[in-house]
Amino acid sequence: MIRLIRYEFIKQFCKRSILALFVVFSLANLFMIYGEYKSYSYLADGNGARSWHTLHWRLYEDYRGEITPEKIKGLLAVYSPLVEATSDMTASTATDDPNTMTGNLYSDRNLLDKYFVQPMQYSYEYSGRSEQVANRARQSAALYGERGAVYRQRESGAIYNLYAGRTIPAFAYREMCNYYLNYDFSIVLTLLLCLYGIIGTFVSEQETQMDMLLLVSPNGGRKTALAKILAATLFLLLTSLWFSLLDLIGFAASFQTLEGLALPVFAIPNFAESSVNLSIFQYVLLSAALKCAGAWVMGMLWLLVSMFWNNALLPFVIDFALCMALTVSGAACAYSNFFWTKVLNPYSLLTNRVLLGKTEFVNLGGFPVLTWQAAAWFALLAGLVLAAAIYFLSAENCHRCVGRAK
Amino acid sequence: MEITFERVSKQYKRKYALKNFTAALSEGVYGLLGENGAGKTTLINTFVGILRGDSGTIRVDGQDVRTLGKAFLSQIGYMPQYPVFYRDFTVRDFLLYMCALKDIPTHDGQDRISKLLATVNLTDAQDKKIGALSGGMRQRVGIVQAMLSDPKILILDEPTAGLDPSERIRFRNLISRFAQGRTILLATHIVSDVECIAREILLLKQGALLMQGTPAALEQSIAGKVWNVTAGAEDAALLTDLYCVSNMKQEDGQFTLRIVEDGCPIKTAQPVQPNLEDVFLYYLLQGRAP
Repeated sequence: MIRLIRYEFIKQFCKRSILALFVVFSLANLFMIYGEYKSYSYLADGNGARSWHTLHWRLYEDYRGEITPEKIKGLLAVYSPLVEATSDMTASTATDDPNTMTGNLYSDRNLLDKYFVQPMQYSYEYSGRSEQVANRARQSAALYGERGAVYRQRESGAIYNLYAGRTIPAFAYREMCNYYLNYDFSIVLTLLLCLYGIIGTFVSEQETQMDMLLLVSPNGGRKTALAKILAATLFLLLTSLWFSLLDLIGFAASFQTLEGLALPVFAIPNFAESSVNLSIFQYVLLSAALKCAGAWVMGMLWLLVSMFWNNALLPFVIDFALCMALTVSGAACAYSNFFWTKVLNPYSLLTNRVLLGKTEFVNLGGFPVLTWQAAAWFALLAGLVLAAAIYFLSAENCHRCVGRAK
Repeated sequence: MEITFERVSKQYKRKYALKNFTAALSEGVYGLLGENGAGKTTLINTFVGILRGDSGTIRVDGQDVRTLGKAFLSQIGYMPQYPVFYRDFTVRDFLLYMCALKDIPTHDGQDRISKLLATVNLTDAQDKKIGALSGGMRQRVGIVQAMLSDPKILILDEPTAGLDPSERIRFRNLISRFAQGRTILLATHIVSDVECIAREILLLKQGALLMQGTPAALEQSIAGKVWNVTAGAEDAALLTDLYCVSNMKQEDGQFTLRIVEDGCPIKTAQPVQPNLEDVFLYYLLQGRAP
């Protein structure tokens, strides 16, 4: 079986066109990530002595690590005079002021505000805010318990368990992580590459007229169909993992740091209501796994559609339309309260920050299940059903052969 | 090995592609001869299990092939019509893949591939991409893959289609070489493919078996029905319209016609020894009953 899977993988996915697309898409992704850095990061202003980049990393050494009253006091001692001096907007706008770090008073204030004061303030205050949420959830659970609303009681209990004790004990540079966690372009590339690779899995046997030969070989029937499913699964997982890894490498290389990966994921403001208590690095691993699951379900769906055609064009169009429909509906429902639409749409697993960034539950038999968990289980189930359908319908090959035999 | 077809029928949309096909085959080359659409490929596909016949049974050494499953497939070598294979695979890689499909261990497969490639004179091309091979070379790769498992039954569906004369001769010789100790069923509509190498010919028309016999017996069956006639241009044109002409040759303004006809077409006609092409014309094109 391993031999068959190996040959199926080589046959379908080690084609020059796919390898070329891999390289082109990877380069495009890296350029896109670098573009994000250059366009949106204030630290992308070079390595001059007065650049934000240089000054930020110099100051960062003083404030990184555990948040202590001394560090806060030290930061405010520098920041407060700047706020005072610039609050009435009458300070000098000169850009070569020798008494400033960056050459401009406003610029000094903004640098400290954006990269030190705000993040540290957010981190410092987060535990209080999450404690409030946990307390309210505990009170709600008690109230629902009194009224016999069992599901609501369980849901509130789950929220309490999730939020109780949340704290961000350390300060770290988080801009790279913020952009990385909110980056979606590689999903488009993953989908296009997977679609292009998957579409030929069965169709190429028709086009090369190998289908007849496969059917008269002892291992050419269902065993080959299984090998195709497993080879396609491997391709989908590798492609998805590669782009997840490439995103991380791209962002780390562009921002020239891996700082922040040890912070809890809720240290990123977009993830304040995150449904997971993980570090950003653990989140990256979970996110990559969920992306794999989403790509796998989409891939199995495409594979199922493609196996009923003799050439690649029509199934490519149909599969592309399916992909667009799932993408558009996924994007439209991403921030809605129709939680089931997120659970049932594999696209939501690909852009999983919506699932992981918000604490949302679906009711499964009276038990609250986090949407990302429900979506992952549904994807596993749907993928297995689709793979089984492909496996059992592979006998349909015979009917296509009949058509040609006539 | 004894292969018997007993009243095998197959219909497509109420039209018979195979009709009560009954035949018995043993060791040697069997030429399955018929026009395009006569049911040759349907017969082969039914035999190898790609198609399920509507009725009838096919037995190998007395056992119904439908009950044999994988054991039957491992005894078969099959070469499809117009094989394209995988253009990006080298010849050896493709054959190793076929070994995996046929459950042949890699080490045994390597040895077998080397021997077979040497037999078909493709050793030098083993590292070439299949997409770079000529039609004849690709057909030879086709027969090598069919022979990988040393099958007892070799099925070749139009194996010489599209080949030039020298490749066709080379391929015919290969088939003769591989015929020892196995049954070869060779479907074709090209008479010369089977004329010299077939032990028996099965004439197929509209899904039904018209005749089965040795080439000599088939030729004998139309003895006295093939004529040579020499005529001028005008008469030759008239004779061509009236009779089934299997060959026409022009020499010094005179035409020599080879006519297949039950009775003497004209007084000057000379009876000649029939060949298999005449048999093909007589039974399949003229639709005469055997």
